[in-house]
Amino acid sequence: MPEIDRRDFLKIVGLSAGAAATAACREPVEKIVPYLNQPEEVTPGIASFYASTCRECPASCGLIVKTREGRPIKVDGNPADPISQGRLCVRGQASLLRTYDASRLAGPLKRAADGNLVPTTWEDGLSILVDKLREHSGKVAFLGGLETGTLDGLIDDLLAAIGSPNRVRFEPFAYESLRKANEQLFGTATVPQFRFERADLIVSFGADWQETWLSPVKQQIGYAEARRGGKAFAVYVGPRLGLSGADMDEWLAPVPGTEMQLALALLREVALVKRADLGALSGRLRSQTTAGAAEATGIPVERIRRLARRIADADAPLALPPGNEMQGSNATGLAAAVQLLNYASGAIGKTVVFGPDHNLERLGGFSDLKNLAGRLRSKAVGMLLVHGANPVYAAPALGFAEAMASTFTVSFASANDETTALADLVLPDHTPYESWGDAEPLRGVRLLQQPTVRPLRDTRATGDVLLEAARALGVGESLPAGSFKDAIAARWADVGFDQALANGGVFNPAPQRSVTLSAGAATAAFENAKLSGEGDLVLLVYPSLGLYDGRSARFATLQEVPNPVTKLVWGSYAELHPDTAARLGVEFGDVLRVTSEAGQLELPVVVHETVRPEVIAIEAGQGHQPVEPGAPDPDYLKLRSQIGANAFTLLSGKTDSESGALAWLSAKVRAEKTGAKLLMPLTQPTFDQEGRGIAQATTMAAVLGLDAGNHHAPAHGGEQHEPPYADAMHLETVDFDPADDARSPDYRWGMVIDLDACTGCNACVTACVQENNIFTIGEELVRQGREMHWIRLERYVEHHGDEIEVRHAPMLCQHCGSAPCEPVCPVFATYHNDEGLNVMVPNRCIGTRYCANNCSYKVRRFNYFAYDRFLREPEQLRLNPDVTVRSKGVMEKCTFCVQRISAAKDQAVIEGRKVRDGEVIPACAQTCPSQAITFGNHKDPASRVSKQRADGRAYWVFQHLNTRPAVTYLKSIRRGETGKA
Amino acid sequence: MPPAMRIPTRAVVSFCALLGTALVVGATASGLYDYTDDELSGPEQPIQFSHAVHASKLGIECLYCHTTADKGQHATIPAVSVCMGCHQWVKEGASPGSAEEIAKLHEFYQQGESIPWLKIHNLPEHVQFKHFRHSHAGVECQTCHGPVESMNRVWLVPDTVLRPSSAFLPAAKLEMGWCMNCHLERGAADDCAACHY
Repeated sequence: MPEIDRRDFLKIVGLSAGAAATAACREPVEKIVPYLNQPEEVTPGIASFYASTCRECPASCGLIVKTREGRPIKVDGNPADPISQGRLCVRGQASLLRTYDASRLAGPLKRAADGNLVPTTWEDGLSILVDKLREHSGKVAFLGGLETGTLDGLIDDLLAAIGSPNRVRFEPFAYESLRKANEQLFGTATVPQFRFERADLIVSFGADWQETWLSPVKQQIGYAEARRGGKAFAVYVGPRLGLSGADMDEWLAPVPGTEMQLALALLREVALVKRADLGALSGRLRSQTTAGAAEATGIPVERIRRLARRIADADAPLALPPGNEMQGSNATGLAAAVQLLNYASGAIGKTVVFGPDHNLERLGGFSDLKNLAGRLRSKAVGMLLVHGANPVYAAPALGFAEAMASTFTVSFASANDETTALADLVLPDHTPYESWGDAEPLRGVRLLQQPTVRPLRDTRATGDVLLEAARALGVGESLPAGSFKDAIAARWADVGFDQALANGGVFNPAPQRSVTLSAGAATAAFENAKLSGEGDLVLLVYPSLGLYDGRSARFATLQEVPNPVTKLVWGSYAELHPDTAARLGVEFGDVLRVTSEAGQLELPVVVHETVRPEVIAIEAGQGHQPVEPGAPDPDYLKLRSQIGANAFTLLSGKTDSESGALAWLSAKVRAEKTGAKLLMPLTQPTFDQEGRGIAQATTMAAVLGLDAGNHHAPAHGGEQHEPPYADAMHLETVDFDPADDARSPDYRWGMVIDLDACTGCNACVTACVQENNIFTIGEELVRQGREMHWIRLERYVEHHGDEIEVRHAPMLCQHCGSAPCEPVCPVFATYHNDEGLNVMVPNRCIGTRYCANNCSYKVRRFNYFAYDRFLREPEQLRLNPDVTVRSKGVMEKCTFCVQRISAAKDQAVIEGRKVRDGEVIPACAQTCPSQAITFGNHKDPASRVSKQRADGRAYWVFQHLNTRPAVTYLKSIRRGETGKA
Repeated sequence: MPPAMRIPTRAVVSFCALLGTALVVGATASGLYDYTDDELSGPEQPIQFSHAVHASKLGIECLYCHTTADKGQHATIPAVSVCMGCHQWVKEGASPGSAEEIAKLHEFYQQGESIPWLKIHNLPEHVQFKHFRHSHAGVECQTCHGPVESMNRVWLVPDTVLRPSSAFLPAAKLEMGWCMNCHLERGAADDCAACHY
């Protein structure tokens, strides 16, 4: 008998037992349920695309919605639309979350006798609405957001029919002062288009043109176009260098409140050089000397003169009127001064275009809301209908909660908010992806919005509810017949509804019209902003990139997109200059008590040098009250609703006297250390590159003098890009290993990222999240450094003497040709494929995390928990079926959107050809408004990536490590003096 | 005993253990699913739909019902309305008992309910399988699905071809090794990222 030792015996027994167990296992039985009647346009497994409109902000970008099996899974810009031009911003990419929001209202609610909101039926809700409308006929007010389509007219018609023409169109960002200034100067209370793409000099007076101001996507596209190839110099004027300012070449930070003097000094100098006829104004400008402005603003005379000279010399200068964060008690005057600067420099008609205006004339503003609050208190209004507005949150100074208390309030919100929680009747609207609608964001640019999913909750379109109510009241004949959709179709009949629906709308921008300076211009009031309150710090509340005015704060995905400046997530933070922090004796994470005339907040401190020392900056949009009636899981909702603090509560409701706009920059505050300290959810611990050369820059002169194709040009501009020992480590080439390369004759995928175009806007981050089923993990796990984003925006601050330069570098898997992660994987879950991809096979991964530890770029993400189990009905519907949902214990990372590569190859194989250049577009590249990301095939010498890889600006991050990355970066270009060109 | 002798012993014992297991599995399978006995093969579906009748006897093309097998990722199960396209007229077939089965179909359709078919050919969610790529490459439906046209009830036919690439062990159908056998034999993609992403 042959010997079998103990080890062999155990092996054999184990094998047999394992085999027997396998034989006994059965796959769980799955059902496969076909359609009853398959809709003609739906084929399981094949996506359908619909044109629609984004309704996340008044910019109203045109969309293409990708749907699979009748549910939208991804949105991108509509290339035919002159606003989005095929691109979207960070909020637009996340806009599907509003539809797949687990804590949406499930159906109508009414106020019960015990004071709680309780579910009711639509029949009951509608009968209450009709009864109350009849009871308060003539005393009904409608408070809504900006509507520029059919719904707008419908509401007006209904109010007229019941004799209650009380309509307030309220947006927290309403550009009242700019409209008022244009009325004074040019006799037209409109907001013109600012054509960035035509400018060769852009000067922003605190306008956050990339975050929320007017039409961020269109403006960012224009900015990138103006700047491409080193053109267009840009200057930011304002007390805090936010996202919009960060990419601009020069930062002038006047003492808060003295911006007017700077604007007037510039105006005077430019008017002198350009011999502009300012009429009676010229006399008033005589006293505005540059020296006086320099003294008041704290900006050296020569820098003001230099800027004035730049404006005067520019062919097409563009000055951007103040955004919300610089809207003070003098907002109209400051807007007028900036518009006069545009006039004097010849920008009006060139880069500032009247005619195809932003459709904002009918928008009310803070003064109308104040008026409404007064009418509610005096009982002049007996019934309030609220749709698309949240005044309780956005205007705490007006005391809306208390003013609404004795008024019967109906809310049409699709999800609960502060105002809805106080309503007496809630008749939830569909979300934009479930409903019909239309918009005209720019004069002549009309967009249609169509449903792409059947309503997920028991909601009804507000247009239909109003029509039904009108018919029940017997005033239906003065309103359109049929449903709300019929009303839209009728309104679009003249331009061909069906064709417009297929295209996404009708895009005929109104013709440009010329304006002349009116006599009224002479009376413009030029004062410095008044700052009131005790304390020595100026409060700067700034609009949020991710949350807008707070309307997107309920979305965990957007909460987890890092603030573009602080790189913090999930909260509100008080930003201080290092000098101020030292004076207050606080450092990063210390909790500060901030007291203004209007209120008090406790906020942790972030210290960074891109705010002025006398400023304390707080992001708007956070601090929503936990209001979620009828929601199934309170703990989960707590996560989503009690985040940060509402910065609006620190504003006392002071206004710009001329336009009635809320003065955001009006409060002085006191800040004291509380002694508490928080562990902060920070995603980037340092803004110093520490000589590693991650985000590199070159100068204009170097760009002009470079010979193309020189991969190994030394660092330009005398900048230390790599560690001193790096030179000795360089290989001969950074190209792929020829042996690897030979195996696939057709493709070697690569990406080129132009850092000169990248502005750090985060749109790629949410696009990637939506495309690749990346989970949001919450504040606590981010604190532990477990964030899941496949692409991140690294922000670095460089110092040139007193001047500061901010650089952004998108960081994602570099798909290294010689990847450190690959040899350490014990199970071949990550390897290099023949087409140059660093492949990650999630189902093969056993979770050793060796690869992440060995990655030089920190781009590998580990699933510490089964994050898919965090999903609540109906959030799972937004998952992209083309991408595997990763489970607990596996590694994941950027795949270069391999599902899109695969789809393009499928198409090419069937058509018997190779994949064409530009056919594969990863989600990040597709949405980037700056078009900073290019993807393609390096095997094709004619492809855009091949050409760009040969550019003199090309470099590879950590080239000295010889990782041979497939991602090539192009150095950003320092223009003008900052770049020492 | 010399050490050299031990190696074949281990291999023989291991092989016997594997063979035994395989025989047990095979016996179990053949006991449950007798290929020649249509009544016993395959699980019972909500409606006793016979591919043998539709595909062989009536000669309906696979693509008539599974319309996107050559166009899309999924072959797709036909909508109930597709069945009703014929069966609103055909209320009784030639086979015994067919009238009752067709009545069930009418019942589903009139109730506005779909038919909860049991999924026989099921791939894990981390596999991105595309039907159209395979049909385009000339792979017959039967290569993966077995002789469905002769089945009265569809079942997952084990692959009994003994291939050197799978060490002459019968491959479990629709498992990765089985896919890879074919991919390697035909020179198709052997890259993980072809199917896993």
